[in-house]
Amino acid sequence: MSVDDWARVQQLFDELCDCPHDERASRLAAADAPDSVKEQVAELLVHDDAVNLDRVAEQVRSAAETLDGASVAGTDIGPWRLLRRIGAGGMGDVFLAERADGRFDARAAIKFVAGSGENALQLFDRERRVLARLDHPAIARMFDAGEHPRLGAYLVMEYIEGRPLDQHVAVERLEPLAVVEWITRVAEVLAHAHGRLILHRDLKPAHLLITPDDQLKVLDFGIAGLLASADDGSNTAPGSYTPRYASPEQIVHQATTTRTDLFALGLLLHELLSDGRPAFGPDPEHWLRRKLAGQRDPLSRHAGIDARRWRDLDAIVGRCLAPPEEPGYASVSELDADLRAVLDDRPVRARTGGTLESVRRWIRRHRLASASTAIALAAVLAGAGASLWFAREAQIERDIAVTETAKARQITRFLEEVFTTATPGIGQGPDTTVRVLLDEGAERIQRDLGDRPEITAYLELAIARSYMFLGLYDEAFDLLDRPPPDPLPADAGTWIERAIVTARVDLLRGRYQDALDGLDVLLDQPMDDLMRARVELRRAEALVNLGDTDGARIAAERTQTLADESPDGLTQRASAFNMLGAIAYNEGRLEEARERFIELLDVHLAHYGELHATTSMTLFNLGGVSLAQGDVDGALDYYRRAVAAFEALFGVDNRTVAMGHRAYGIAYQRAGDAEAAERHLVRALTALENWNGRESPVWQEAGLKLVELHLLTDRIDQAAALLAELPSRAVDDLSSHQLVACRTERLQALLGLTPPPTADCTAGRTLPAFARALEHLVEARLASSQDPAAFNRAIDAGRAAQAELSVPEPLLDVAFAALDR
Amino acid sequence: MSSTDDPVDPDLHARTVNDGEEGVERYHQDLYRIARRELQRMMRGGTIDTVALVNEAYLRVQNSDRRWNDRGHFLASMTTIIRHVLIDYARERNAQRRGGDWQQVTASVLDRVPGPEEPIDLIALESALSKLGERSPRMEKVVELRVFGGLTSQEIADALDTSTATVTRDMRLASAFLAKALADA
Repeated sequence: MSVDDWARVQQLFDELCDCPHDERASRLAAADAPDSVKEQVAELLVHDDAVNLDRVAEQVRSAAETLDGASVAGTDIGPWRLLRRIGAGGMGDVFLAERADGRFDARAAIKFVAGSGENALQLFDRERRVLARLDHPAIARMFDAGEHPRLGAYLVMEYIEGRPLDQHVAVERLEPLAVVEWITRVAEVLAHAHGRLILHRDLKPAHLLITPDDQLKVLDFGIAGLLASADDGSNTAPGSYTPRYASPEQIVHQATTTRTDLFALGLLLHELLSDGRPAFGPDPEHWLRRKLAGQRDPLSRHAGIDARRWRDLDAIVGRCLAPPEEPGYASVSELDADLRAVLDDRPVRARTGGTLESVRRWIRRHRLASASTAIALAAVLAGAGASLWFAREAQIERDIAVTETAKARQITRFLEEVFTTATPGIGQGPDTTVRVLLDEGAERIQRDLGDRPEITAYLELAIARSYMFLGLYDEAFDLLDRPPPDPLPADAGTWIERAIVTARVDLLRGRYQDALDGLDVLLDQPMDDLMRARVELRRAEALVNLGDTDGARIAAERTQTLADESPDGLTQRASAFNMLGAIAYNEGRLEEARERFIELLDVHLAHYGELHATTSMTLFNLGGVSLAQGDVDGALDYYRRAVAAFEALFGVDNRTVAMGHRAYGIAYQRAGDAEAAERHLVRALTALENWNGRESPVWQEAGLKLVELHLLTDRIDQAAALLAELPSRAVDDLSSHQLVACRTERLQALLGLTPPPTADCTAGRTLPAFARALEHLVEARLASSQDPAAFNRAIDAGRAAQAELSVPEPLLDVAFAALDR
Repeated sequence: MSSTDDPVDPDLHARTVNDGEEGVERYHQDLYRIARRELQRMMRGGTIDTVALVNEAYLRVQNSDRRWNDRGHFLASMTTIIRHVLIDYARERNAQRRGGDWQQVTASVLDRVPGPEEPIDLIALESALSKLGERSPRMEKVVELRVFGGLTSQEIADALDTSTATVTRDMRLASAFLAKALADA
């Protein structure tokens, strides 16, 4: 039937349907329309009085009901049969179920979840494997998950009989310390889960059941995160949570971390100790603002516990509920330790304030910087002729990460944020080292996300970067060592970023040519100015290490130009500026170097203050320039500040700190203060050995410095003892390392520790004037009584070398003066 | 337990409106997801009332997204989806009953003159509606909005951008058409 015919049908029907029935037939017959139309209208008119649409609607409603009726009970879900509904909420409905096959007597709670997207099953399956790692008697287990065609996605969980913790506390009228005891048990369970990289994310009394035989059972572990992951992606929200117990990061949709669970536990502790009064006031409308601002109500005084312990508990709650920018507990184990301290009546950490606070704050600030950019800090190494020491951001962060577990945990938190953002279900616990977390992350990426190259590429990058910060360069390289897709995908940024990080790893491994090759390939790629600035900065670093100072300068200048054009280029610009200062220093343009570093120092002091890695590096570099310019007092002052900052930032046994002491010692040597010089050089040497053992060329170089000091101050036995422990072979072909090895070899031979070398290790190079003067000094001392001719030759040669010194060496003067007598 | 103890519905978070094709596509995907979820929610509760469902769905999401602010549009779209989801379920159900071999179920409304409680054959209704749609897509829509969504004539007129008089006339003819089609089936 054509549309036109239907229009005629409707027209006729409209005309006739309101007519009295007996008139319809005659009027239809008289109508001017094709017979086929008339036939249809006649038939339709027959049915006109039979049905109206509202009745159809009623019938549809009945039909829909019979589709399932009230028959949800009795429905089989896999091997389970639903018995009755035991709970309902915005997140879904919970049914009690029993085994349908009757094979064994078991009951389960089946939770139907609200969202069920296309890939719900796939995600469920993945998360289920994660949750399967939770095997703890106090954690209700998850048996199965799936999707029922009518009832939606579901989880099968262990059914627990018991009452919620808050009811238990109220009914049993538990004393505050008994409440604390329960919370420590919850903390213990959380520590177990966090150690297996799983967060709860929805801690609340209803999820903490106390069974009739007084056991704690934690329900719904990781379910909130799982629900977030089960969503089909049309949702920007990071999952379900309970507003009352939600942490600030959940409310503002940031990554959930161990802190999320700690926050909820703090709230719980507060409520259980305050007869159920929420810590952020009774009015839900104000929770968000007050949580973000950290405006909690203090615990009100409670009978049955002494005032000091009550204050301790209040401090503990406060630490759990700290707003995001303030330091909280680093792990649930820390909280557990504090709670147990209250139970045992010992001092708690929450009130003493950690000595690590400044480090934590620094890391937090620093993390922001490193997340967006990467800074290369070129530090001028004092006193070692033309050699440069490049302190890199990675080295600094590695210093922090490895020095102490407590500090490493802070880095870990960063990692875990990286992971939880991209893959729900992961948290970080105290039992897990950073390394384990990384390995786990890398493995997880391969296993779960192999089919999502864009996410894989990004996560591998994050983990590789973390490996790099930990000094695990080979692991980092292996993870990144995979060719990019060809052509590059739309988000080529990740791949360019990977190439830059690969180059950084190569730089750190001393593979400067590989780094440069990798970076040169990038020069043809389209990218924004900031990214290009970073490429050029790394190129400058590679080039300067390859001895191409001109190339390095050009690259550093390009970095600066590019960074100038980018609003976020401040750190790149500063790094390039620093690099140019270092190059100027390296090429002997000391005044230019000084001007650059002083300008940088002003900027950094204004931006970061004195106690900041970047500031302290600039201070350190200024010390080197001052020393080279003969401004010993200035150098001492800069080094004093730099070393103080290093120690505050990095602790004691740390490479950066050691390098600070080393330079400080050399400055004292130049000032003629042998005692202070020795003190700092010994500290440098000890720290380096504790840090990295004796294998590193840095330890060898610092050892040589101390040997030289001993020789200057006429302590040949001490010098010989230390010299005997120094290797005389360079670890690689870097000219500065070879020079150190060569000088070591010559001094060892001079003191008779080894036979005279068959070949001259200087290989045609001229040793620095100071080294030559020192050798002649030793020769003169050894020859003094027996061989006056040799003695005089040595004195003359030493005096000649001394005259070549660009800066005074007062201890050398004193030594020669003593011999002259 | 106060209402604030309930977990937040993940849908109750602001989103932004996408423009262009992708936005339209996304809009319908989201609607479909909401419809499915609401239907499952109802089925778990043991009853299905498509009219209540469509309206409850609107109440649940109206604060979450600017896209859902146009009530008429939301109800209309949601109703369409609910109809399809419901019919899918009915087919699935029949398939299960018949061991997978689905056949058209015949039922004569006229023969049995069903009372309000007597269920209609959803699949036959669907078939009739499709035939109606071949003749007049607007009428199919009118029936759908009335029967599955419970919209008033005014709401239907608004949603379809037409007059209530047209809707009233459409409903009458459509009723007759459906009755005939179901009787013939």
